[in-house]
Amino acid sequence: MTKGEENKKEILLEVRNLSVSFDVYGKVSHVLDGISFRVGKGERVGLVGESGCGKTTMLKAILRVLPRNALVGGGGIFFEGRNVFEMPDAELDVMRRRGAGMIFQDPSSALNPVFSVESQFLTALQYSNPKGTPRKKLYSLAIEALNNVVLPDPERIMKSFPYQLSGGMKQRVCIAITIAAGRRLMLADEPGTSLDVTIQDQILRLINNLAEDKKLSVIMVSHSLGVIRESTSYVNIMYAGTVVESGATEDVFKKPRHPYTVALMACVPKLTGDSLAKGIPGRIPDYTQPPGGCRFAPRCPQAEGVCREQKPPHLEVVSGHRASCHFVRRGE
Amino acid sequence: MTLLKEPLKNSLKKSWLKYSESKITVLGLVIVVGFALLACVGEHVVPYPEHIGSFVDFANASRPPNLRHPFGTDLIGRDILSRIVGSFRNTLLMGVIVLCISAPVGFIVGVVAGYNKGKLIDTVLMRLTDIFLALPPLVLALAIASVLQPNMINSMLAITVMWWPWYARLSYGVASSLRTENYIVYAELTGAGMFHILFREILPNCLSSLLTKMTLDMGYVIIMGATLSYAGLGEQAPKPALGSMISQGVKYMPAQWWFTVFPAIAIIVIILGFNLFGDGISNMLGADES
Amino acid sequence: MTGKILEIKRLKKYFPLKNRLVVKAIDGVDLELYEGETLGLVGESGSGKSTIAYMLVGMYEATEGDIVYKGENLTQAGIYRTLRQKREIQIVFQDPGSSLNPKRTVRKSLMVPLAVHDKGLSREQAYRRAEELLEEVGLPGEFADKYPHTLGGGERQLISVARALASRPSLLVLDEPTSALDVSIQAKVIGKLVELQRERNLSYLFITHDLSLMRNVADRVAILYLGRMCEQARTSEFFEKPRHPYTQMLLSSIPVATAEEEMLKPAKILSSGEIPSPVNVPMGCSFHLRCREKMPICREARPQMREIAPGHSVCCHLYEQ
Repeated sequence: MTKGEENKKEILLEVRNLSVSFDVYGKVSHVLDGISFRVGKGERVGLVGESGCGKTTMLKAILRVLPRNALVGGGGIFFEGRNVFEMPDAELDVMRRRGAGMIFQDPSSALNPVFSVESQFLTALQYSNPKGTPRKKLYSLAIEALNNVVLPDPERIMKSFPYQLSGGMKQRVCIAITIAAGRRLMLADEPGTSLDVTIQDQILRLINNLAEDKKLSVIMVSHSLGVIRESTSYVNIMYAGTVVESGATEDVFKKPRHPYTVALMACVPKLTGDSLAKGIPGRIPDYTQPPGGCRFAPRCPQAEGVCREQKPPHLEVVSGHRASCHFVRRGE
Repeated sequence: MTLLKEPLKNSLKKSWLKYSESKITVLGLVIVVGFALLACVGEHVVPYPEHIGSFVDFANASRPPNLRHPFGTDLIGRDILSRIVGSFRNTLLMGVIVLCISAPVGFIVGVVAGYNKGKLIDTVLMRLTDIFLALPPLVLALAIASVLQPNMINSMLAITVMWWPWYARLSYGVASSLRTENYIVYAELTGAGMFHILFREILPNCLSSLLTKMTLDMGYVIIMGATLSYAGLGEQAPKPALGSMISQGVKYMPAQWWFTVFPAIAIIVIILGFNLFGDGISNMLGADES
Repeated sequence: MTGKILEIKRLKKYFPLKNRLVVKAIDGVDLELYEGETLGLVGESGSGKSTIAYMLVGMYEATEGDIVYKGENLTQAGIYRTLRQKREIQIVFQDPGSSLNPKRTVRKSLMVPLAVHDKGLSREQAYRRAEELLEEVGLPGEFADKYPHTLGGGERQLISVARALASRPSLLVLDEPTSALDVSIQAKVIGKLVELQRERNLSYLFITHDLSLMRNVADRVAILYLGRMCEQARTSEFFEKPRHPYTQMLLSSIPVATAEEEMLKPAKILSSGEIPSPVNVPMGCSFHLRCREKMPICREARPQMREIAPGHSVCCHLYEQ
């Protein structure tokens, strides 16, 4: 079996040239512009970018929970080979219940404060298991999942109400609910951002372990380069609704090629104490009139005429490492 | 000049798009504008302006709707259409005056109590508000209106007395949640006075909910006014009032149904119009940031 | 760095709850701040770092202890402070969304401190001064007539800085001023703050949970845990030789973006446990439940702050000989 064939077989989710825009009171915002990436089985893929770059829209598109004013302009999302946008409702339900699930930045608002963990957990499991599964069976599934997310004393957790749990515990409960149904893909939207660093560290380690032990695929969305570097194996750097650079996490962080990635990395405060960069001039473009060529061109120090006119190709620089910039050369 | 005009035009256009997101609110706007126009120039456009006052024409008394009198005539021969339109000015004034008094009064009580939440002044003001809220509104208004002279001014007064507590409640809620916002805390820390905080910092943030409530309330105030005049406590004869027209007409139901039905329809249409208009305003002012 | 501008001595802040429970938000903290210096006050949620900020600006009254600012005791809350005392210590809040009134123009927000503290200024002068203030923090003067929601988070934070600077303070309390911002924006805001400090010899008390940021900004770093001080040192010493087991755990938990930083982190200490509730602080050392080097004494006696090297103090039984 060649490497290419092996990759094909392992693909769980593929986003192909996806464009999404929003109709906001008569004005059209072109948010996602030709996004493509793949997630293999058991792979952890990162989407990293600043606020407003379309990370969350991307996740919503995967579960097809975009707001009503969203227009899918082209391309598709293929979950286990089936286009999410063409799925009949029944199949979509099955995908959401047993295929892919999402955990959120703020675990407090993800759980309903007036129901106990047990009742929320079992309700979720009722939907994801065949009709008529005895409650006892569901309960034992839930306990098993809570054990898997390393929560001590799962019976007590089941009886608790969300306010009795700390932020880290709530996030573990959310993860448990997501994996208990045997989902194969977890969409993690900034899962540690609202938690303390020591707790975030624990949650990220947990997700990494689950991905390895259970062959769970993870799409990790974060604005923090550090989080992405430590918790993914493949990364897509997003800017203004486009993927500007993608590749194995290690390669991209070791030698970023796209000017945006380079500038972003320079802005991150480092433990080495190298002085901070001055920031990136300008701001994210107006999505109703995005720049015609490269979307980063107006802020890019290297931009020339061609950048403003032509969209750069997502060029493979070295094996597996691509960047969308007119100035990167193959092999450099 | 063009620089200034452009954003204004855009924001007006955006407001209109938000308002008209639900098409039926446009109907509300049409009704409200029509009602207000008729209230202003009613006596100049009605077919029989003199019928609005004390006019008598027994020859044409109690005529059912026909081409000359589309809504028919009343017991003493006055054109019902003209009288309905003629009552609009007082109906509108009633709503506007009641709300323009009860909203500011309620706002001041609510905002002072809400900003000083937990202190003595909060307890005093809000318990007072609760007492007014606990009294059955119609009974209270009837009591006030019957102790005083039965006329329009006093019925407005009666409605105002029972209306302000709702505005106090609303402003109380907004003020007590805003007082922990950082910009309020900052104003306190820097040493700005209470007047500044209540009227410069909190009031602008209350305005949109106050305005929404005022437009939605307009219809209810008008109903309340009609109810009082139905009970004989509003505008006195020979001036027309929708409530008293209905109350005088009921005696002749169902034979002279047009005495009652047309004023009633007028009330329903006006209330409906203000409710739809209020919904539209709340769509327009709500969720401003997105 | 010259004179001592602020000294906090054995400061305590308790919030009584119902059922006779007490939240010990701050439980005996000592802190010093020098002119022109940035002190990074770092802690996780529940550590009490914001409580210290709020006491400094007079939002809360101290339960016990002293806040001595330029020789004056400032333990009382805001209403008892003189205008001059209020003017000297200013604060920038964390959330750029709520620090400016959404219904008022930037100019009006900036004119509030001018009206209170610069009584000599006429309305017209204050009107123009607002634009100058914006330019001083590197924003165009035209922003004065905009509403906050039309501006970005970084711009709003800079406006908060401009508003704080309007009364010409000498101490600025920065309560997580950049933690809600993107890194590219954060870099801009931090750059401006550093520049302003150099120009005006301001002292910053920089409250944050982001240690990497403090490595770049602070002159000294202090770590709080559950209302108590754990470790305090000059920045370089702090990051090179962290002593307290909690500091080591914090440092090793930071997700870093480069391999060079990975080398600087202490050997991977798997973080464990969670911060106990400040209502129920463990006996002895408050960190002993999560500490990997705990000794029998940690459960019984509360350790004291001890200077183990010049300017480097630790509060841990490991260093008490």
